Amino acid sequence: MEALQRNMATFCRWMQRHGHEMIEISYSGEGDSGGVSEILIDGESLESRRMEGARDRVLYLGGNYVTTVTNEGEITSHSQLHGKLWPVNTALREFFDAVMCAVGHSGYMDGLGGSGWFQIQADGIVSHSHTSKFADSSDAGDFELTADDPTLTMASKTLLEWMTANSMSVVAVTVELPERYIGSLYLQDVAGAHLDPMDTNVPTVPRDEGSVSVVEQMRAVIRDILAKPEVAAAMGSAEGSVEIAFIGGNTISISCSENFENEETDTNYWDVSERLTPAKTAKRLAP
Amino acid sequence: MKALHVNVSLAAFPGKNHFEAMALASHASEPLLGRLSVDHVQICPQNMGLMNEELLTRLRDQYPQTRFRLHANVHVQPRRLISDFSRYHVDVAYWARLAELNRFIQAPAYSGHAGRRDEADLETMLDNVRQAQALFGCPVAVEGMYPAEGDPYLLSSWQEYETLYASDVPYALDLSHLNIVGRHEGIFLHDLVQAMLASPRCLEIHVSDNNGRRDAHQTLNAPPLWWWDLPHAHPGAVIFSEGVAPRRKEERHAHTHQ
Repeated sequence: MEALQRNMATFCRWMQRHGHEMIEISYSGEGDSGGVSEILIDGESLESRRMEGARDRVLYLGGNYVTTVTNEGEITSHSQLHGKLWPVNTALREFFDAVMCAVGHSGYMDGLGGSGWFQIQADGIVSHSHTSKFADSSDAGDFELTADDPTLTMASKTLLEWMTANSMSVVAVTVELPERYIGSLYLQDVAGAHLDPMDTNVPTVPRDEGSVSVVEQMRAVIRDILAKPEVAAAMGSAEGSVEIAFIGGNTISISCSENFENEETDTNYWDVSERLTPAKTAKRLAP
Repeated sequence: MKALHVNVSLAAFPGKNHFEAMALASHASEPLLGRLSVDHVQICPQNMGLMNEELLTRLRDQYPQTRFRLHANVHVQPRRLISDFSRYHVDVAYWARLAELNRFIQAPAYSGHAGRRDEADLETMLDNVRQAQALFGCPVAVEGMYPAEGDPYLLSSWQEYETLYASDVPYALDLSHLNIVGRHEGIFLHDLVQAMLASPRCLEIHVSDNNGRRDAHQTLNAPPLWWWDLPHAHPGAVIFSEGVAPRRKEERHAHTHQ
């Protein structure tokens, strides 16, 4: 943090030298890419040719990381600082990377990502706001059906009977709604081995039409399970997922959850105004 | 299904510097994938620090058994860039530096993202990948994308993946991207995916979990449907996991308010 605050003070002095009041850095990212969206100086792009001081070089304190791993696997790292004279634009981008790491938001370009902004005021007040996005879910209901449930359809009954006859312990599927997209599907036998559901066949419904893959059979099962009033009521029109697990040939476990994206905003403030006092310079210049 | 040999992508450790990420990678495991390997390691832009010869040398010295390779938009110039194959002829200096570092570590392959439609059309982008082979001095692979709002990305539909397969261009197949294509189009084309996996032009396979909506880079807990296509993979294709372990809420707050 010491180097970051010294760099903040450097940018403040640069602004003061050129009569600027505020630097704003905005950024966003998701998936596996992202970065600085723009850098504004008093509302105008730093890239602007008219920008006073845009071609200046400033002394930026950067670091090489030194990481050590103890025998217990504990990781420690520190940076060996060194100063570099960089164009202010480059220094600001490097500062952005370093400060994002320091505040724990450098993963903003991963997964659902995040976005935010920094404001560096010429008087030494630096503020940061970061909004992270998260995939979240909430339970919408759990249900259990047994093999003797009178409401079970032929597709489900056939699958349960096949499991018993073929020593299968679990057939589980995750269905993403509203598209009814099969997100995951796996079969496990009593010995714990996983079987390929696309290469494993089960009897058709009705049986006299031969056999189909478990994936195909599952589409019929999913249709039936989702039509059950309690499941339909739990999911409503929400986006979410339903996990259906056929267990041991005698139980069907159904877990409904609603999926949503959540946001969380953090703010950080730094005051480096004390570092801007010209005490050292004044002492050096004193007769 | 026999055990898979899955390697680590340092994208799985966002915000860590390369040495912290490697230290974590050396002990990494996932529920579905088991213990991950560092035989091959992908260096990604998610890690902090400017990549240069000195850093690469230190990485190689510390991990002599690991074969490092660069992947998409690595921070190789002081100014960070998002430069995909669609911008190959725009950010010439960036690509030259990337290739220079790639040659420095004698990487077995380089892979990058296809990029945006407003920067190049599909044929131009594929041609850029062909041209990059000579610059990098090793096989160069394009990684397809996924559908998103406004349809910004090249290689984001089954039709475009079929075009890629029919071409002569090497590729990195991100199966979690294909999961998003599958949910968006309402069908997962297992035949095409198996054929693409089996091709010797499939240089890398990237895996992580998502619910088919966004590229969430989650760790794999249960086998997605594409899991059963993986045994078709060409033996020369290197598999990388990009799954990021979920961070606890208190961990997310640990760095803030300093």
